[in-house]
Amino acid sequence: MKRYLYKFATMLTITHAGILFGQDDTAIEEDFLSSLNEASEIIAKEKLNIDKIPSTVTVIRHKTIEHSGAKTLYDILAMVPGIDISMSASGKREIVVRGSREKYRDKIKLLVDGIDVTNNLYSNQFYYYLFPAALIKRVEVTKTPDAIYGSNSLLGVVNVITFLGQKGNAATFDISSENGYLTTLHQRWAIKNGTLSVDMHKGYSNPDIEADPTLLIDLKTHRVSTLRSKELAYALEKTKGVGMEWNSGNFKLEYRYQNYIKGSFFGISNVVPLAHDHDVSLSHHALQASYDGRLGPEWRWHLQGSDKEYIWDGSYRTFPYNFQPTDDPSKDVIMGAYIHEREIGAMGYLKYEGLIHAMTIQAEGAYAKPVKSYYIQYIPAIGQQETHLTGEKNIIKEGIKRTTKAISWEDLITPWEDFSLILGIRADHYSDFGYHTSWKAGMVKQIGDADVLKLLYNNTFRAPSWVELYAKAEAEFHGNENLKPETMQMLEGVWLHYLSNSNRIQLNVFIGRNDDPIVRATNDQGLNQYINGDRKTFRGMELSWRWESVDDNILFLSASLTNNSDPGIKYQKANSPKKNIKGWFDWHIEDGLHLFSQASYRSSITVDHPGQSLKVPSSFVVNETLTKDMGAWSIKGGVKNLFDKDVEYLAGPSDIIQNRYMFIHSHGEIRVLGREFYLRIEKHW
Amino acid sequence: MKLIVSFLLIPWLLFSQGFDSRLMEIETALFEKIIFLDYDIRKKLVQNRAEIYIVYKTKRQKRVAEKAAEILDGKKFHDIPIKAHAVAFDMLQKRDTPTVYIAVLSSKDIQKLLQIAVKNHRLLFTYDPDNISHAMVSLQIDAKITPIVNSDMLKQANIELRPIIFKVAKIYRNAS
Repeated sequence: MKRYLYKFATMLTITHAGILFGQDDTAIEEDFLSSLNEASEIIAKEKLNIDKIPSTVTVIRHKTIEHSGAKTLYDILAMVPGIDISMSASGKREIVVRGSREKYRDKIKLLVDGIDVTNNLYSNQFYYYLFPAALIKRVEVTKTPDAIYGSNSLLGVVNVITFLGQKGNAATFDISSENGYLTTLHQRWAIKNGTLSVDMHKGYSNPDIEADPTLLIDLKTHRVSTLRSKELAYALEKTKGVGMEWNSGNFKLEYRYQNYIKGSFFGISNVVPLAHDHDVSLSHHALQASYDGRLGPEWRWHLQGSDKEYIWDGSYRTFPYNFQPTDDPSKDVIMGAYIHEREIGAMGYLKYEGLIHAMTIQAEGAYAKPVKSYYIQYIPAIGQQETHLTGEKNIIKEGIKRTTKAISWEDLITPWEDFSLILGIRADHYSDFGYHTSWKAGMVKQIGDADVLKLLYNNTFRAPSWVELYAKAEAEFHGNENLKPETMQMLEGVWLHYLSNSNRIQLNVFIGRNDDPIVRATNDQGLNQYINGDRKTFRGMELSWRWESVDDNILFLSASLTNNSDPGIKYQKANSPKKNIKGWFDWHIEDGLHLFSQASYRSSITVDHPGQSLKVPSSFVVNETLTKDMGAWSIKGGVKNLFDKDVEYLAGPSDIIQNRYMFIHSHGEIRVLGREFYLRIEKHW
Repeated sequence: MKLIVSFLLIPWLLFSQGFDSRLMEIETALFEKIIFLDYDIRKKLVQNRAEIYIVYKTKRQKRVAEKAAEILDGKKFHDIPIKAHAVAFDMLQKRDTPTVYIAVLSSKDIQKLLQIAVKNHRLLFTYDPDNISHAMVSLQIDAKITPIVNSDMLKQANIELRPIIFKVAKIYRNAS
């Protein structure tokens, strides 16, 4: 009968006794201990032991990212079970997490190399979604809200780990048949007492996409008329960015800049623009300095300070001021704004990693405020010119600021080798609304050699953004200073069954409750104001199968089913189950040659549209990518949407304007993407 | 739906089980450190080098062994160079005794290798902690990495490891 005995110092008796260690002996022992600790840190950091701890992280690693032909973070996230990439009526791609779709903000926390890149203005981060896949080492996605991360991890956390600071220099150039390119560079230098790393990227895309006619719905007369016929959408997207890291011993200095420019596509109000002359630019800067230290083999500490800036700058065409069909773009109401926010923060933690406990105690604080803002709204046809409106006419209340403080404690307890428990609590204080306490509890139990059961519960919150609290634009956005934070409670069960070490089936089942969700609703005065809405419920499951062969072939299949009480988009039928099936096979044909086949299916969506019954059809898309490595060079060629199928997304109506009008695409949907061919050349040195 | 299933299932019929290559890399790097915890390591060097045989039997095991050899070969530990080879189990008899063995073998085959390792007083590592009864050292991956040491087999092979490993390891003993 097998039996394991836990013994520590007492086992010295069965080994060599009475040895006097020389200097070399001590070095060997220290080397072993530090290597063991480092290896444990690596497996935890890279989530290699994810099946053995109470967590539900999905990790997409570089090998898969590289072979898949993923161009941006969007493409990587699309591979995660339970995540779908959709598109808003204004043409902005949106992340749908477990069937929940949120207009303008995704209610997830996005970290890039540990830096939170979510802004205070609208607590969104979509300017980072075009971040190049070629610069990403791995992406960790948690779809369960995580109490320890604080505000905005309501629908989960996406942690992007780049190659910054890693060995291996590379440059890539990507060109697409859809009128676009993307180029990247990563370089690392060894300098005195450390390393300096830089990455940079630049991308452009302006595909020809035709928009359906725009319908004008008059809610007073119930008349539906065509306001604008088919036009080319303004689908311009530009992205550029720079990352830098200077590492010297335990000190690290990081900087990241990301800029995203977007044309107004179908127009922010669903009205296809007649002229393509207004863009919006979103820029995010983050500077972070950190220092890590040890207080013995089991205790580590970390201190960091950060300075972040976010600038929203631009304008867009909306609708003709008289709500009449026209070919004259000067009749459009042009809206826009400039908002520059700044946030200074500090954070520190103390970590203990013992045989049974792995504990983290963390404290953090931040101060943020808009340093400059103005609003733009004018109609050229009636002689108005662009002016920067401030004071009472500003886009956001002037003089606001936000101070936050938080303290948290988390402990991963492993009392037995087949059982671990995680407990965590976090207290946040916001100058806007006071205190909130979040907490989590979870366990993992190994049953025999082949099965693992996990159970996780999280109770977390999302602080209202400044737009939700203080916006006061004449149209579209009206804040509400009485908003409470919205909360989420989610219970998730996971069953893992191993057919072998590398052949695994996983089932996730979840049920959640979103109380006081912050939604936009039309008030008695006809204004679209943010309110705390009715409770939403989430429920669903994900089933996946992953198999990896000794020959480096990987097969992954997943099916997800969600049935939420409120899918987050107007007129989409509530409580209607949505199915999503996706899979990929990374075939290692021979040394240096890989074929990556990817397929995804999304079920149809039922729409309860006033006056007409609509159904957004299901979609089935296949992508193929062939990668040939030739020493320092690599060539990748591929096709997205191999069968050239139409992909339709549900496009909800605009907000109610002047308490009377709404705009909607004629079929209530957006059709995008034909077949796309692309070629990528990579050089490594 | 049928199209999706058939599209993705065909490859499954062509290949069989594998391994986590990243974990294998980390484990191999740790094995290297444990090798030098043997008090008699210097006596076991071959031409002043640490000669490591990574032993396999099947074609699939060969791929793992070759990757492990690639990781270890050419490294240096405290000025001792490391030479690593992927060696077929059937070829062991034709080769000299190495400094240490790492097994990429089934539980049945590793038993035979254990007899050889014990006879030659050499350490025998296994990637599969379930095979620890037929080896001397393995690693268990849970919330953290824990070495597992089969003290009975170490005694039988007359190998003494530095006490530091017993401060952090789980001790396995064969059934008495």
